[in-house]
Amino acid sequence: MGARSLKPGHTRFFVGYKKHTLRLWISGFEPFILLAPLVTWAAPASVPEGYLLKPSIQYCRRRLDFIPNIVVGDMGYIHQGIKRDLRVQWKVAMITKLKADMKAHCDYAEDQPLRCSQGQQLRWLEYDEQEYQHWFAPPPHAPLCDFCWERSACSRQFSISADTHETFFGMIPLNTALAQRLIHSVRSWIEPSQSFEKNQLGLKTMFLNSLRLCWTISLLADSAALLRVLAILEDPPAKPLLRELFPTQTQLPLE
Amino acid sequence: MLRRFRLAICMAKSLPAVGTFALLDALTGFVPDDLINSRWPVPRRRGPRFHFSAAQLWRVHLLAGLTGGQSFNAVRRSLSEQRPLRRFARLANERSIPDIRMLHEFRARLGVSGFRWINDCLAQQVLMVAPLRDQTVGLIDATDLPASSRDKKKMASLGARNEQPWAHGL
Repeated sequence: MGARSLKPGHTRFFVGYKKHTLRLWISGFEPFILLAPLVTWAAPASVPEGYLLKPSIQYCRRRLDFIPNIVVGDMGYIHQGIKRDLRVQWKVAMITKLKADMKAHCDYAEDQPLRCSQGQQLRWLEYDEQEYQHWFAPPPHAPLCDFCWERSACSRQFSISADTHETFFGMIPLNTALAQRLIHSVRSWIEPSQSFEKNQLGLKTMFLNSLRLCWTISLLADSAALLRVLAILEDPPAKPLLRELFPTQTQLPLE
Repeated sequence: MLRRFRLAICMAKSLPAVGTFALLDALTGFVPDDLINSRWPVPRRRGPRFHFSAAQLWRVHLLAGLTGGQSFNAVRRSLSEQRPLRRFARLANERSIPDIRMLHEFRARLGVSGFRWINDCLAQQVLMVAPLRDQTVGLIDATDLPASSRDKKKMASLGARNEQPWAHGL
């Protein structure tokens, strides 16, 4: 028995399985959004999602010799210990939203920039992988810095440990534009890819009466998706007539 | 005018929809037949001969998804009727079609690890040709697959019988 998000016409709990999939966002493909399934697990619905995060990255590394630098997930993957392991061991940034109860007890907010002790807004500079620290600095021409009484003693760079709040800071702080784009613009594309598998490839209509069959069907759906990705990459479509209406790749300041 | 219309059709060309024969033709060249056949060669043994290679049987399984979510039984029935499906599965004619027992044995022979191995091959091909930027992004999520448990649901009770079971010749 597993729980699922409430939708009209669905019960809160169901008997069955869950297909956990790590997909790669092919960001350099310009014509449209393309996601390729890399790792899939079929598990009983009662298995929490967070349990399969670390094995997915491990599997990617071992079998495909590839690890995505950033992984975006929903709040099911919020386990702080696992996120810390990914950050420290494999240099993978795991990004999730903050839970509502976390927001109440967190000193930081996703929509608020960090500030120095005098109230000047700070912008994120970088994450130091050696020291596990984030560095922040006031933007150029910061208004408060010119009049600050601590100006002579201020280094104008502030560090904070990523361990302070794993979910908020991690490798990419949640109050940066990059993290917000990843959460709001990129993660939303997971739904159409799931819908494609369930409705068009027929995962929803299959007669799944055993975990083994569920595994097989899930992997076959992935095979079909991967073949489609290969075909699209091999022969990318010419400029379509409805191009203006198509969703386009989000430009992220990753480099 | 006709030329412009054709040009517009060509420009609008994308991958055919799932369930069409055109999609099967577009995807057939990307199936790693040689890899699959070399990993699971046709065993030589006494008794009934294997008529189908591992790649053929995997293609038959793949048809379940590519034709819009048919059951394996329905795929088998369709294979005897639809030539484009047989062409995708590399089956010679309507008389040489794997039966349900063969498909079941093939799934048991490959196991989950076998199907994953094939997917890994495909994923490695994708990673080789995909235009990736320096920072790669992965998305992880889970989707619900409810089990087919309609026959296990509790039905409304009809109440206790107040007569013997053999009263109506049962």
